[in-house]
Amino acid sequence: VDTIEGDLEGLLSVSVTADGPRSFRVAIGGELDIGNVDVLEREIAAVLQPRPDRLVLDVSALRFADSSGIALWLRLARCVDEFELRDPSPLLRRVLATMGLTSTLRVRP
Amino acid sequence: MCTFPAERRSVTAARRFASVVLGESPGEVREAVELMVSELATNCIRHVDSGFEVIVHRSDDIIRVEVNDHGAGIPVMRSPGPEDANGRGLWIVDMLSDAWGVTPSPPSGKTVWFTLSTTRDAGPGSLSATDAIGGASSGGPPATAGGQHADNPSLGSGPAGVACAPMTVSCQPKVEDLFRRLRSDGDQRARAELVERFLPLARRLALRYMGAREPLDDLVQVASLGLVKAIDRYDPERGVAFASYAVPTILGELKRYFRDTGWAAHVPRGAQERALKVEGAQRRLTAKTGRPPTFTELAQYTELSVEDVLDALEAAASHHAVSLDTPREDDEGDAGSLGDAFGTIDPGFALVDAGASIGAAACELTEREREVLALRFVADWSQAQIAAQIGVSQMQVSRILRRSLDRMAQLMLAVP
Repeated sequence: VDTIEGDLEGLLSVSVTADGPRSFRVAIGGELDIGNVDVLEREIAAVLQPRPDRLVLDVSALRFADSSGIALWLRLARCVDEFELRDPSPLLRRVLATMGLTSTLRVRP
Repeated sequence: MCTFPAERRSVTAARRFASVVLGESPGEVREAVELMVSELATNCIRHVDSGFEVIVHRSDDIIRVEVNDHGAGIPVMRSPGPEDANGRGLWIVDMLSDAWGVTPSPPSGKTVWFTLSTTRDAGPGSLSATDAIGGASSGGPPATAGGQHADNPSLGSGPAGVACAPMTVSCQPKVEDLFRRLRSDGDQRARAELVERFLPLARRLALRYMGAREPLDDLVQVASLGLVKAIDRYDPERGVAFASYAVPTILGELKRYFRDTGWAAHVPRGAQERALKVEGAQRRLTAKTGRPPTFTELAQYTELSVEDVLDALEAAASHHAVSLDTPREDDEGDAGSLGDAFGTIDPGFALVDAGASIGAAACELTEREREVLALRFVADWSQAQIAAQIGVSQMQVSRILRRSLDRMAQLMLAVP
């Protein structure tokens, strides 16, 4: 099991856990916007080598994300077979539902 | 007001600023404003690469936020597909705000503003309402839920709205508020929402007029236009509920449509009315006697003369036109269209007639006059050529022509 912890731009914390041979769980906390979305994307890409089959993105500790964050999730969902977005805030959940992204991003629960 | 430089970190700062200003507002309102400010600030950085100012106004029940930038370009709300990563910023603002808009600020730059009411217990598309509409996966407007508002356009007849009625009452802006926004701010979103909300009403009224004569789609179209007129003309100050104003307006539009365009040919108003009367009489008499009524019976029943009845029946026939391209088979079994069977005016006959008259008249002219006329109008020579041929001046040729034509005209008119 491989875990990294990081603090990106003082706003964001990331922890990546490998919970299977090609399965990862990435928990992000803090706030996600245009200011740190690129850093996070690079960080995740560097850790997820080789490309996993399954990626669970746990956003329960994420206080804030805007469309920059949603765009990143869509890019991540596109490059793995199985993607799951876990525990978005009620506001985010509502935004994603209205945009019709609930199933694309496999929002759980 | 707070000013932010053109860098990515400003997005976070702007959002924090708004959140601090709204410190006492309910959590979900603050969250929504933070998200919208974040989107608008992101647009400034991403699309116009400009510093920006954020202004937050707060009254008792309305929050108004303005984001001013100094760059060129006007934001456009796109409808991204489910897979598109970008283009969702204004969409989110549109979804979460009560109203938003863009005002250009010369010489360059613009203000993007939005308002959000804080008195409702839920936003315009709150989580509960979204769920009630069944996941709202398409992101389309919750048009079906519009029916169950207090100012109820579908008058309780829509089965789709019943299940989520309690939700929609609490989370939809009131009709009066929409009109206030439309009248005072020119808010086009309010207008669009009003149209959307009352479309079921227009449709229902259109259904009343459904018959074989006009396609339902056309009727709905006409009714919808009537609705738009009603929305633009309605004066909330009069104290009449919008629906009470809209219904007669829409019905009027439908009736006018039938009066003006329900006829294939133009029929005078009086004849139209007689036609309707006679058609009605035809139906009733047929039902009564079990056979089509005679013209005399129709005349007695309608208290019109037989002449008028025949006229009326002819007028009624012009409700429907038959296409000239209707396929038709003639006596020899050749296929063709109805139009082929119509005769045309043959100009040759008129020519024969005119030729005979001219011949008679020409006999009254002198040799020289006939020669000049023939050279001019049959051989198509110019006056100068004729002058050279017969050895007179062109002036004289002109005079001969005019004189002989005048005489022929007089002769031909004199002949009965």
